[in-house]
Amino acid sequence: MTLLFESLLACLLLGFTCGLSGSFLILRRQALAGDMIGHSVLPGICTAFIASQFSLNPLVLLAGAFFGAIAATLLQEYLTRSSKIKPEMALAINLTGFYAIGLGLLTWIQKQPGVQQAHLESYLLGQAATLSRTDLFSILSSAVLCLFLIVIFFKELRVSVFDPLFAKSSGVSAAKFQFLLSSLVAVSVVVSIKAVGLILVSALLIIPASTASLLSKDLSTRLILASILGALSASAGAYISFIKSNIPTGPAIILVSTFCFITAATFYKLKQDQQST
Amino acid sequence: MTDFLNVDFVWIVATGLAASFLCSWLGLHLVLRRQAMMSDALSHSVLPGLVLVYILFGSLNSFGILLGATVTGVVTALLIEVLKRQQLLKEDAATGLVFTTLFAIGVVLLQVYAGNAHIDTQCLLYGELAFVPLENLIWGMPQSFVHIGSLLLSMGALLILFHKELLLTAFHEEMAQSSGLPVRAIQYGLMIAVSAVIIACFQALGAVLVIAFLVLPASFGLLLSRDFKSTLLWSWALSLVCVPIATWIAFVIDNNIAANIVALEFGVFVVAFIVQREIEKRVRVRIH
Amino acid sequence: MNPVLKITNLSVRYQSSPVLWKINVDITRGKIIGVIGPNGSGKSTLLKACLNLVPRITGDVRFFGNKSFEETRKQIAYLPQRESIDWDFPVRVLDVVLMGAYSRLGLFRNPGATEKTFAMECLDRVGLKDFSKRHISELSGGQQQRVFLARALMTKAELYFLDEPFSAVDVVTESMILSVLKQLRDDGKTLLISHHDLNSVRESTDEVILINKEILSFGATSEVMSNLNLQKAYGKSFT
Repeated sequence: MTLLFESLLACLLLGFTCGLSGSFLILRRQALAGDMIGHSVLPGICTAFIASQFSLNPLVLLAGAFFGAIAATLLQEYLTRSSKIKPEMALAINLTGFYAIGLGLLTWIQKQPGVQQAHLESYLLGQAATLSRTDLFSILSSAVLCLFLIVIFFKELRVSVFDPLFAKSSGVSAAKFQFLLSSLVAVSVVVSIKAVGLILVSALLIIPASTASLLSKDLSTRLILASILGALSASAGAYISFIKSNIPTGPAIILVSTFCFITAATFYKLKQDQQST
Repeated sequence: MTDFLNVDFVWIVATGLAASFLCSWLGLHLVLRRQAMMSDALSHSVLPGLVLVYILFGSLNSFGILLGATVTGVVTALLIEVLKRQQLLKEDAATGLVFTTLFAIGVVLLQVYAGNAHIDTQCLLYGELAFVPLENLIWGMPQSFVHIGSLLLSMGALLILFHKELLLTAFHEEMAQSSGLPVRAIQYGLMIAVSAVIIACFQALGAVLVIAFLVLPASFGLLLSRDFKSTLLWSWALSLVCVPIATWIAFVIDNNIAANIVALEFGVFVVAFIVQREIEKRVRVRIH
Repeated sequence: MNPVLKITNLSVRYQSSPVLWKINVDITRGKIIGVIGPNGSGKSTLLKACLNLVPRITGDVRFFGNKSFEETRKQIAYLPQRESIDWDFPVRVLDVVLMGAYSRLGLFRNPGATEKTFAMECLDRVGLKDFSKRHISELSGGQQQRVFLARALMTKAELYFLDEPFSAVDVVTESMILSVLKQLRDDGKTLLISHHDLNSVRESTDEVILINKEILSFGATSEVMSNLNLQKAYGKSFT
């Protein structure tokens, strides 16, 4: 397999995964939680890099990123238990708090003599060309995991998001399934940051899912559309950044998916106008 | 120890404090309107406006800050409002879509016109207070300090002037509208003000850390107090303690100053939060 | 006869102020019981506390003769208030009704043909058979409330907790809901309904619990609805 093919395949799969988990995220009105989780992986990655004595193993960095994401999710839940701290305040606080710690660690790493830096900076804006074979496999397994969990728990996930109180009264633990969704989002973010960058990874969760929300009023159709749109715009964006090498992968992917959104929104509005006349 | 108390250290702490005071004042208004995440959105969507200003003027001056801020603040808020009003998206998804797209456009502009603009993405993402003393001097003071300081004075005057209007629209929008206040104009004005502050601070703090300056001290204040004035004073107190200490630590361990300030404030906030939760729990137990 | 629902010494608070204080009630089978009281008197909270949806400080709730909620969950239905729902959520009417079968189905089993037929029957009982394929945002407020009632019917429960089923509904919906509830009662089910409209309470309930943080009065509707009792709860005269 060529490098180009492997990178495109990786982007296709992670677009698919983000489309799936992002659909639930926007239904929970937590679109911006993706951004918070995206920034919170930085201290995790840096800590893993330091703790493993500057190992370049992608799996070590992935594990670190995942711990950062989960820690931020838990802290978010804890902070919003007080009525004084509203959810959006907690998001902003966690986002910059974790990022600042990560930035401090990154600065320290950069000042260590003779340390190979594992393209740590490319985690900020993303570069699909830096993906390795191991990254590809972790992206593939997270896509399979996401799809599997959403298919088998579809009815529980839906009722937990739609009507948590009713879910609880009929024996579906809404809190547990909401946490499962948060973990799926964390997994999607963690495997995507190397290609898309932590600044823009939230867009890959939000935009394809938003486009799909304009196209269907049925949850399963929406999930299918969001994952297809995510996959297509991620691979198309990655291809553009390959042929125009001065455009980083993340921004290219975002612009392609926003283009899809604008097209869908135009058709949506035209159809609405037709119906009203 | 005395090595650090040189002119550089003083300028850095002064700039950090001015930025903190300015940001937490404006940020408190943002937080009270439940728009804390607009700080995140605006801090990213300023990028295309900023690149535009650099392409036009070659450097950052007061007029450039104002122009870039107006364009960014209005465009971001307007796009989000259109998506919401047209019932295309809910507020959170609309915000996420708009700012990531604008940021992506900014990055592409930056890469294409890299030769003309004297900024790079690194600087935007990190920010470095340590460079403040190395900047061009205006009236014998570093450029960032002058920009931030003059914004603090002018913005402070505006915030005092419109204090009751801002609070009323934040507390109950419909009531404010029915009593004849220009609710939308106030909202857009606030967005422009926040964008101006972000642009003025970005060289020193970076796009992501400026969010913390806007939201963290204000949230700390709200944790400890219930009225506007004492909330603001508590948030300033947090900065007054954290900025010099964190700057000193950053000097000693040779690290990014803004990141150290935010990390320290974040730590203090989390500890204060935990302590307060525990106290509340004890009080409740005593009631029963 | 064993009470269907036995509430003993139940207290609940939000933040630090009590919302419910030392509630004691025994409810017998086959009745419609209204829960009334002024705004903020803890009507909804009483229902939620029975279903373990809000944490209690003290107290015990027993179902069907000394069984816990967890043991009898499948015989209990709950209809939450409509305001908490996102009506843009991508589900169709039939999907919502089918959610009523989830406590029977448990994990890993999806509703099949039997459930779907029964769900259509439930929709028929609330007069919405032709709306099964519609998206929930395309219904009126009253129709949405009837969908929720159909979902409660779908649970095939013995004991129903209905939170403000008559709030902001049209006249057709109100009489339809009322006839469904009376039918359930005549089949021997028990229904606990929170109410804010004092006028419709008289015709829709057999017994009434009048609360304002604590129980002020409990008994046959006509007795409790005397002016003296209401004055005690609402602090003003109702003549």
